[in-house]
Amino acid sequence: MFKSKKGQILAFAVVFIIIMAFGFILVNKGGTAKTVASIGNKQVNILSAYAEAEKAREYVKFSAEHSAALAAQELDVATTQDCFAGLDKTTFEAAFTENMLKYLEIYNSTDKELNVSALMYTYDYDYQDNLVTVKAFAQEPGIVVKSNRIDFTYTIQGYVETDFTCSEYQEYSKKKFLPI
Amino acid sequence: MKTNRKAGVPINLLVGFVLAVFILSLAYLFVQILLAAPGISGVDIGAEVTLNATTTSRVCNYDLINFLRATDSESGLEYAQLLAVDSNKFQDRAEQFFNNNFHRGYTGVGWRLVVTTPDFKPVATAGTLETMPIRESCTQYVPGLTLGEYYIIKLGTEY
Repeated sequence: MFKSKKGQILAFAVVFIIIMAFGFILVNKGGTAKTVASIGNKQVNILSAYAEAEKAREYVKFSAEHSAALAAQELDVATTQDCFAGLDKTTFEAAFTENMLKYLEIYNSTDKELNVSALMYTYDYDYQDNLVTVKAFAQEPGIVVKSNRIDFTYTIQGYVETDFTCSEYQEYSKKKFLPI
Repeated sequence: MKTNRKAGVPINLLVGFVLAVFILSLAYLFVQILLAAPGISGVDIGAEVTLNATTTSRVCNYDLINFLRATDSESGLEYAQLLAVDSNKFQDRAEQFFNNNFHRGYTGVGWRLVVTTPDFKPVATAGTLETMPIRESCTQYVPGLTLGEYYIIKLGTEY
């Protein structure tokens, strides 16, 4: 391949120089190998979506508790130990649903970079003499949090269950509420 | 020296270059294998992840929601309910709850809780800080007991 000595020297010189240069680059790269992976605003935006969905879900739960208290008050339920015995369930459920609708329609995201979908729910009830259990099901597709900054959507099922007891109702009844 | 007459490039130089590239490719592959398997090579690339949170503190959100979900032992109401029923009692209980449950009073780390209406009328204030920390703060809405009324609860923490 290399017939002349000069040619051989030249070829090896080229190989040597390139290898040395490349080796130098690799060694330098190894010396500063501390990799920093920064998570910036977009990633924080994604993490915040989880918290935002939980906040919306909590708001639904608090609204359900208030709605049950207000519905009971609208029906003039007595503040006895077994206050829900003999409750007019149909009227209670209608009042509860109406109250919930008013609470949920005013909800907005707490984060201006995230948009929370309209909270749409259906309800199921279990009755005992001293408590009402409300099961709230978010209509499909659930609670949807969409980022205004990036193309990102986070969805949770949004199921909420709450027990409203007669003792809670007694506490609520210490204050007379304006009908909503 | 042999030269390619048409191109005028010494063949030996081309051969040397190709040879160098081939050897370097092998070397590069070898180094990459070593880096990919630090257990074998003992090379630690020292990966470090930094989270540039510029908006809200994660702990803040959890602490606030946990507080609002918690039950006041005296009334049996959740703190979110208590706020709507009796905001004065809520204010007293908030101070107690935070100091007992998040131990901020012992560590000396400050916090501040402010409750307002949507048009910023003050409802309750609690905590050790005089002003709200801007960076580590979080917000939750809690429904009130009249139509369209809700409270804005803002927690600011130094942690």
